[in-house]
Amino acid sequence: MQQQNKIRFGIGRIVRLAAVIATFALLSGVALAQTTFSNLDQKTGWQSCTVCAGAGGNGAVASLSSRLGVSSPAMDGASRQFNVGGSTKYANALWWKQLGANSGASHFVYDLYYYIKTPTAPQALEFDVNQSRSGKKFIFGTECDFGGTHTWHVYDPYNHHWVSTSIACTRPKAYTWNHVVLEFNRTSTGRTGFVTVSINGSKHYFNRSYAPRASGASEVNVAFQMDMNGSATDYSTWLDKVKLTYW
Amino acid sequence: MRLKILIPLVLCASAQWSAAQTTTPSSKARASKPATPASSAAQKRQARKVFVLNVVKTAVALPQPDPQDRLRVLNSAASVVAPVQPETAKSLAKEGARLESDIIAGGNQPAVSILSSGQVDCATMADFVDRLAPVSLAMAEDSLVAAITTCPKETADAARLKVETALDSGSIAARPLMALMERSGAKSRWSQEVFVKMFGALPDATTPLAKKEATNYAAMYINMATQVDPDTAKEAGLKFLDWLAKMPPQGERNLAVNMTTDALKQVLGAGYEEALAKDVVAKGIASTAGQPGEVEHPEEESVSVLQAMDNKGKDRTEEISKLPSSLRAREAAAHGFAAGTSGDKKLADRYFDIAFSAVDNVWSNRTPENNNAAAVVEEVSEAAAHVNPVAALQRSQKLQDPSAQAISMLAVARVVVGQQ
Repeated sequence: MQQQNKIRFGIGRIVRLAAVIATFALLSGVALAQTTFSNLDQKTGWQSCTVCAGAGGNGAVASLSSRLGVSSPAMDGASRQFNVGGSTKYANALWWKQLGANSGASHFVYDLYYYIKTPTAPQALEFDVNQSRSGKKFIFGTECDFGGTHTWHVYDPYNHHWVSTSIACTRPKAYTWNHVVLEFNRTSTGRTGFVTVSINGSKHYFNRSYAPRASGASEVNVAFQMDMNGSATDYSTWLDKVKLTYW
Repeated sequence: MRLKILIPLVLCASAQWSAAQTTTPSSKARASKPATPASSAAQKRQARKVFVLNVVKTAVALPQPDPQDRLRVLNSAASVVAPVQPETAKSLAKEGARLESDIIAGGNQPAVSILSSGQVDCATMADFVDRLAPVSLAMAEDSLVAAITTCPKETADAARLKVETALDSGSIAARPLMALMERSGAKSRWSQEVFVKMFGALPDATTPLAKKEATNYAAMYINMATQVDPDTAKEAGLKFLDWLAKMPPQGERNLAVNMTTDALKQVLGAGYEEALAKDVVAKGIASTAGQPGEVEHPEEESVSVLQAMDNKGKDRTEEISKLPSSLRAREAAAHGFAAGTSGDKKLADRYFDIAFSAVDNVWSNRTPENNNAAAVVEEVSEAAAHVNPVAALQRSQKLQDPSAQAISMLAVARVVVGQQ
């Protein structure tokens, strides 16, 4: 009986999945050549910095480390743990993973799960996609400002500052996985477009765009930043099933 | 009576705000006495503020007979009004915290936790924990963890008493326990005693609760195994493996087995095999270690707004109309947003007609098991508000159910608060 239920459940899921795929194909209307980088949390080659993560790229110093292949907590058996600490309040730590150059990509979906034990420790958590092409840098920077405005912020790359949105960013549930999906685009007018954020399945619309800044680089990368609070509380965040899709 | 006064106020504010929105530098006003950009900006800000306050007041005044809906409305209203009028946010949050407590006391899990919103002060958090009955702990995990992690000084002592009392009667609140053990320190007497008690009182391994909590128990085992003496770690580890052996084979079990056997090997070293040799059940399940496992995350229905934006200019209303109601609402909203923000207001209107009509279906067919209706209402209303907030508010007010109306109106107000 249990086996039958399992099979029925499995068939149900397949049917639902097929319906979603059919809908997707139906509504997309065009054949999309997408590129997906999956399980980025398990890839080597993540780079990091602390001073560069502060305002104007000249912030305070934090101690930072990361560890891959962590079995607990993990959604799929192996997560990546990111740690930030030290005694300097409001210090930050940034990690990023280069994915090569792609100047043609103009749509980006950054999809990840994060886990935190002490949601009161971070001032903010930041999730970014960066694309540099044709002399311009498109910084699709977003942060969940737990400690200040309790809203999501988006980054204005040209004017080098964060802009508060009214999308609520409540402190995440502790000891559980939180799912974040971000949609960005390079707009038809060449701007850095922030489209939506989904938090555990609830979608909110950013509907903002900003001019890019100048850059000589050619790259696409994903980034994650941990900001410390005014008490400089050490904390860790675990990321799992980190995925970037672009087309 | 209040409503009769408030609804015209909202419409009046909408009209004022709409006028502020559409006034251009080349309008007639400039010929007589040009308004400076600063005063025009201030005027718009003020109009937005009035609009938001009136919408929040109206939404909160609407009847929400279901306490879960009332809690959703209070939670949303508090966060929308916070940047405009913090004192109102605080008062709404206080009412919400009291309601959250009542819902839990009634044996139900709150649909949202206002305690996690950042709007509730520590005195209210402490009051919440004091009122919490240990028997209701399973329904209060999110709220309690929020209280412990946000206001540890004010809540931790009372919370320890509650979770320990619950544990003594065989009910394990894993996440609050982990938060409290972390707060007390793994080496503390309290943590060590609770660790032993917990692995002696695991619930029925065949229930959905067991599936949900297996990896949390394993996480607790990993955190504590190296902090207690090896015999205690061995005993708890074997008990836990015996318990995992009773669970149906599934991803969560595999993950928990992998985590526990790794920790046991680390603690016992060469004594690992010897310990297993004395417990045939534990040995059997430990031999399955290494199988892939994954924590199941609740299925999330989602649509791609990027793809909807790629479709702009094409009329997809016919295909969208055939989708199930919840997906229809979200997909139509995404397409309405794409059409509206690219200038095709007429097509956007058609999409939003479909979306709001689907919202009524979603709301009327919601069940306690499948209750993403509030998220659908918010998503659709936000999308519409980005195209035209006044029109979106009118659509909100035409929804059939007053609770859905309130949630929708607050979503519109949230977009207006954030407009630059």
